[in-house]
Amino acid sequence: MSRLQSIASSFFVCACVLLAFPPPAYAYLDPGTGSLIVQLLVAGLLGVALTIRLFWRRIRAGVALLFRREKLPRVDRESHDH
Amino acid sequence: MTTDQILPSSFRDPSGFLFWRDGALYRQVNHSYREDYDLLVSSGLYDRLVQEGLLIPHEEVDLREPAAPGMYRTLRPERVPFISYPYEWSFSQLKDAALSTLRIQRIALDHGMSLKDASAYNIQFLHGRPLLIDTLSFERYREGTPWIAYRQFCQHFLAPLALMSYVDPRLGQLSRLHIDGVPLSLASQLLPWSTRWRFSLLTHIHLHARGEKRFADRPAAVAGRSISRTALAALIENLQSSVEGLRFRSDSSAWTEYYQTSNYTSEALQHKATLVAQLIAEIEPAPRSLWDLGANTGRFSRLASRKGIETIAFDNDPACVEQCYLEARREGETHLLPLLVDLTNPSPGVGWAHEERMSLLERGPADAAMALALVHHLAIGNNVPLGGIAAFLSRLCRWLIIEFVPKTDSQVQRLLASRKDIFADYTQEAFEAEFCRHFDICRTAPIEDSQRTLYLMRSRERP
Repeated sequence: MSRLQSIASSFFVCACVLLAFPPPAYAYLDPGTGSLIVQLLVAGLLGVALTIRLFWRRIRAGVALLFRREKLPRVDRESHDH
Repeated sequence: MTTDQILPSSFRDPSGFLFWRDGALYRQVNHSYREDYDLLVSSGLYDRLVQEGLLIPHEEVDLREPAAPGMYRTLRPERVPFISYPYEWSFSQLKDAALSTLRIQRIALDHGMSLKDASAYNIQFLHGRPLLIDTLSFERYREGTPWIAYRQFCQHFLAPLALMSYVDPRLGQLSRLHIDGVPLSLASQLLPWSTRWRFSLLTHIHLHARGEKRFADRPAAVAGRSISRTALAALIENLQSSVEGLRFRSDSSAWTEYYQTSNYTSEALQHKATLVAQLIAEIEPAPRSLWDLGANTGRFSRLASRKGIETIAFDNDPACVEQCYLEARREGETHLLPLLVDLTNPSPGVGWAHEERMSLLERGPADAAMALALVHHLAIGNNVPLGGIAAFLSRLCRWLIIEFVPKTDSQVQRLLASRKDIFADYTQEAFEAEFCRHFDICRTAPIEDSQRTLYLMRSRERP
């Protein structure tokens, strides 16, 4: 993922955070404020990355069909751990 | 009138607790957990996890008298023969336990539930594989809620694994000091700076530690935050790939090459194995459990485990335990559990009131123990008098197979090479005299082509 994408994703996640107001979770375990915020940011980033990746695969598949290749292009195996 | 004994470790979660009654272990499910327990069963999650060997199977029983008020159900879970703790696991054991936890969470999300805790103590090894023993660890997943156990997962699994992988495998012992997992601020400080280049460690450890510090006193900051299901799935997937990417790194251990470098001839080694197998077979009635103390990579432990005896292979070298576990996993061995324990400082009782996690002795006695090529390490390597060794061993087993290694043996000479010989009492006669105070010697068998002797002994204190 490029740095630009990372920054864009971060802004997107922050926006989501500010807009969403679900009921708070109660548990016997203290999840920790800082930990929850980090989870939100990281999961948001990873979620956006996943969405982009799926979307990108569809575009590539579409382009491949457009040019009527005999075989679909090989989809690179991408690691989630950059 | 029944007398119940509630397990001292079973107090954190109000959903229920474990208790002993008439020699059987039960789990009470409280009314407060009713909805979640019913969902666990009705959603098919319980069946799926049990089928995959990821959750301890149980049966619901009808006890006339509940152990405490508020009982909704009473469960009798399958018994785990030996309870072990994360600080006694090798790197790959902890890694497999972490991956099982994440797999359980993924399956739970598919069934509309989520793990409400991710404690490494909730995982135990049964039939050689890690599985969840806490049936009450699930709660209904509510769209938008974060994973409540994220921090606990990072502290119990990711942080110690990263430290063992990037710094030293001995750092797994930090879990013994920190009962709720390695603090992320500590892990972040100890990990090399270069780990910040790995996205997973940068976020789940370093950024996580900074976030905890920064928002420590600002509880209001999290009110009303939400996380999508896709993002949650991506988080679990990323944690999985983070754990999978960590590798055991260790310089070649002195002990994993022990059999190649020791003074055993192949004849002596073969004869020793034959004798040990014979002595195990002589124990009447046949032992159900056996502790191999100083097991190295489990060569002799397997003489017992392959006969169906629940065998624990204890060693104090992380590389040996790792190798023993990897081999057991590869071969699909179901009766062998390798564990990292230093017998000169065995696992103590830790946690609240010293009772949350049992000491090694509290988890015994074993039907039988083996102490092969061990006595000289305790007596000469750690200065323990022979009488002290005999007394300790008599507390942890009923039968004992023990090897005496005389001072003239090259392994003992190696221990004495750099120190003064202050061990005038280290003789075979003194050894027998001290052990006879606690054991009856049933058989003595010299090992051919060596100066060593094997003994089969029976405890007088634990008939």
